[in-house]
Amino acid sequence: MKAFQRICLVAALTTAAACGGSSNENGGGGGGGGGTREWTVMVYMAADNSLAVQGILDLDEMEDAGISDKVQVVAQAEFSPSVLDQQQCTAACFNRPNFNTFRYAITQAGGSAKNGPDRGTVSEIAGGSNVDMTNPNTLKDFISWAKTNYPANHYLLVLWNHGGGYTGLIQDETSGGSGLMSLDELKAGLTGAGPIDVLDFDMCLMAGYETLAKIVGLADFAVFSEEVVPGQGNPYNTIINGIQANPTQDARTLSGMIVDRFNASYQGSKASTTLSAYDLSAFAGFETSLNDLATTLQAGLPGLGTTIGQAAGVSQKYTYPQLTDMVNFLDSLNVRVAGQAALQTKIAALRTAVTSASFRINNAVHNGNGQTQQGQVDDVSRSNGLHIVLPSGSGQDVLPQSGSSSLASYQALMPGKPWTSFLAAYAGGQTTTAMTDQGDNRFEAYLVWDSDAIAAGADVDFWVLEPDGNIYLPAFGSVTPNGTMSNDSYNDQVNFEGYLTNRFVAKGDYLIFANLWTDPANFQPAYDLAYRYDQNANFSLFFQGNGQPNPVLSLQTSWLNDPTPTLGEILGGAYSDLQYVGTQTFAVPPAPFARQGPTASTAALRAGGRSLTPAQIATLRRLVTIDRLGGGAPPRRLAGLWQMPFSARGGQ
Amino acid sequence: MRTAITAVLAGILACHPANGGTVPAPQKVSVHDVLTRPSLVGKAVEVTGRCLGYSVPTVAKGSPPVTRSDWQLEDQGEAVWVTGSMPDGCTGTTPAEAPSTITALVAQDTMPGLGGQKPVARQYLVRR
Repeated sequence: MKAFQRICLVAALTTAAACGGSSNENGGGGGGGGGTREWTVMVYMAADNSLAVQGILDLDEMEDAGISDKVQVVAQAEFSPSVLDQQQCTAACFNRPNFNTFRYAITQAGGSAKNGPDRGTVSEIAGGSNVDMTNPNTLKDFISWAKTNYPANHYLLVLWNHGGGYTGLIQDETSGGSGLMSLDELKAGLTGAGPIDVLDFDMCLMAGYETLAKIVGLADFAVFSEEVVPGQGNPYNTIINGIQANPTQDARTLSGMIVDRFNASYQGSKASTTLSAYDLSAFAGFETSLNDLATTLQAGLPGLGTTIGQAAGVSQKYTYPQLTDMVNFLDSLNVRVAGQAALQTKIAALRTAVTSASFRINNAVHNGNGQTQQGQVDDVSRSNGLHIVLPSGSGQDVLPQSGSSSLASYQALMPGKPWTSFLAAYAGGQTTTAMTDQGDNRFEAYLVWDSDAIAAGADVDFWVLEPDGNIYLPAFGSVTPNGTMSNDSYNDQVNFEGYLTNRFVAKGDYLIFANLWTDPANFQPAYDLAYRYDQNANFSLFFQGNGQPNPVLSLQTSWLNDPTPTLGEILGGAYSDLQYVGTQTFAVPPAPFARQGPTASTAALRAGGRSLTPAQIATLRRLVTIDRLGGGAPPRRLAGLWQMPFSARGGQ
Repeated sequence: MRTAITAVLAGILACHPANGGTVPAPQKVSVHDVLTRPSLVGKAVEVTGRCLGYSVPTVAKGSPPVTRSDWQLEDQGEAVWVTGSMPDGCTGTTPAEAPSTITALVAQDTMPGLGGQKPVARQYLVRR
């Protein structure tokens, strides 16, 4: 047996934290404008995803706007290698030597001669790398860089990319995987970044109560869309021209101007569009009215539930059907509760608050002329500027039982809010999973193994069998019903992988397994389980902490060679490449959350009834077998180590 | 290697034939048909494939044709962009585990050329 090497969890964590580090290198020539420059437009262009081409074209639009000593446009951008490869394009297609993240200040007049940056100063970050644009620290660093080098009296921050409303925003394929930055992470990225006069979401679906709740106090005005936005997004040339033409305009005027110019640019087009602008100084008053209504609605449940569902069902909906236009819902509900004076008073108060000119600055909707398969237009005409999560309960218009759009995720995102409480009471009946609240201190566990195993080509996988009876592992997805996986260790060339559970998790047993996927040099890695219940605390090692030797994985007795593997056999240690590690149990009601560590006792597990079905075994066998046969192709995300510091992710 | 497996898996899953009815319209076609037959433009079709979400993995060519939330429908290693709602079990960032059958309208646009390339026509699907 190979001696257990020093497990480099600490080193790995240190490296991971360092990867999200700051960079305040000089951007080249733009500094010193404070007092004379009125606006700096900061575009955070996360185009390392399906939107790479649109990003390049939008950079060209910014260049086409020309320059002004009163208005400076800067961007931090990166583009997807795989998407551009589909167009037989290299980085040369956007006038760069590589796919590293770059910062760009437009300083030269004239329209774009080439696709990509060719009208100003370009610099790479931290000496040249592809950074994780979903990392809050990356966003914060960009803002700091822009303000340091291009100070102005006012700042417009444009977040450019995918948006999914309350499910998150911004995707970075190469460095951040498929997942989105959460709204809490956005809040973290803006916190401490200094004043943002206008925050413009050039992305889909972000015009929601939840967005405002996260950015209040961090930005003065918000511009965003209730519905999905066309691929072209903002008309940057006309918007920047609008700022250049009146550089002393205040943030309120500018916010309204963006809405008008966006709307004007899509007149006559196929796409239906929505865009609105809000003054966050009036958010508190609005939220007070919303809280009052939520409390009243919840008090009326369950009797009022059907009426609420009907009102939501006939209201303006969006590509994510659970998103419901707030004003349209209030109007629909109001006519259904005639005679309930107290409730109607709350409805009226909220309607007044959400449409007040002191709160809603501008709202523009446009029905495109594009045809659907039913021969209709995509009708967004009943959009009033702000949506809220409210499923009707019919068809697809429900909260999924798992994932980032689930009720549990909403509860984790918006804890303590009366609307959250109402939503749980109203929509909770649509889900049957018993949940428990871990609070801010969540169970987090990672398999860690010999660091030398990386060089030896050995690959270890973290498996977790959740209470729903399904097995999840980072190699096959980033999100489980109850947690978020780390990146796949093989892709990132690190010696750990695991997951952080959600604040709200399904009650039951979570069984953790270690799987050796490949071991070409017969390295036989030893491993341990690092876990904790407090995201600010140090990890504990399960085996070493209990004075036990570290188990060793090998391919000697593979579960893949057993035509009928069972959970009992895995638990009993029948296989050398698939080993049971331990169990975390979230207690059945009414017991409180029990902070027991993973236990090595398997007898209770067998008696507990948790089992793998033959179909699940077959699926896993197929997935893993295909994976093993797929050798040879290089991992696509070679770009780097995991850049999400555990503490940052865990603290959200 | 691990990311490549997703595409391999997508191809295998997409091989499962959908349970088809006998309704003559919309026309049943494959993803490959949509991509290669401009004559389908303007027609309602029924297509089976696996929803891949936005871009992980990237299989469809070019950029999303209509909105930033367009998604890929994949079958046999090819994918077509779809604008409109996603099938159950699929989000922009989480591919579906199983194929689904959708009805949609075939449309056409022109992919912009980059770096001096020529623009190219392509078909996509509209599902609303």
